[in-house]
Amino acid sequence: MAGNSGIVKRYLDALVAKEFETLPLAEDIVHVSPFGTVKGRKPFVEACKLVVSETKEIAILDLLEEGDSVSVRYEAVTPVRRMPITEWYTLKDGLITRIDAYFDGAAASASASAA
Amino acid sequence: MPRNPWRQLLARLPEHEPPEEAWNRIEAHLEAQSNGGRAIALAYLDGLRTGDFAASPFTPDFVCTTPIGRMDQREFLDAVRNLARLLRSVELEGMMASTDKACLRYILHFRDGRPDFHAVDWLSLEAGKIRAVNAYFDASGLFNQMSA
Repeated sequence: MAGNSGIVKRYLDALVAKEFETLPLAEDIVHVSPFGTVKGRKPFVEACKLVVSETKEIAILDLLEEGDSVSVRYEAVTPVRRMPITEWYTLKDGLITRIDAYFDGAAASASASAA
Repeated sequence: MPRNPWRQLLARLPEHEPPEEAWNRIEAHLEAQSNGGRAIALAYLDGLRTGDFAASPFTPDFVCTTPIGRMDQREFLDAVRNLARLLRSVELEGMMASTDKACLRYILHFRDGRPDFHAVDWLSLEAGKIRAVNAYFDASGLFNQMSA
């Protein structure tokens, strides 16, 4: 998988592997989700460490790419459930500059509590 | 050296049109199908606003999956028509489409000043019809808005 889709796939693989230093993120990345907005690579990576701590697999269901954007829908698999998520990525110069994440915030919170 | 495996396959075919022309024809066909997917997706989005999905037909086994449950075609149409009465407009933030799927990112704006509602719908397409919708949104946000 090449191009921006490949970069997003590499990002998701690195999340599952907990290889946070290799995440292809811009320094000024913006992440928007039902939990709020996180700006900057360092705070976002710290948030990632918490969110994916129980994630064993990211099962990609669909992926589309157009221009500087990639959209992915997947299930984040933890020991207690499969969390449906879709994310809309914006990329520039081989790095992810923005992620808009769509999921049910209440279900995600319940999943985190149960893990 | 052709990078695409389809080009390599076509290059092996004797007595056919030149591989480059065949590939261009296939690309044009795929592009046309993708544009068809975009048209269906846009008609679907308009259906969310109006409750009328005549221009974006569903397959008989249509199913819509959301964070708050699954709906068949009748249940989906009932839900959307109820929602459409509350809407002022539907704003398209982004769209991607291929031959068999489309992804729509949009915002619902309500008539009565309720907060905007953000969602992404993935459409599975089959022979010019919508076979499935997988909707992604924050259900707690939806409930807050419906009770506002």
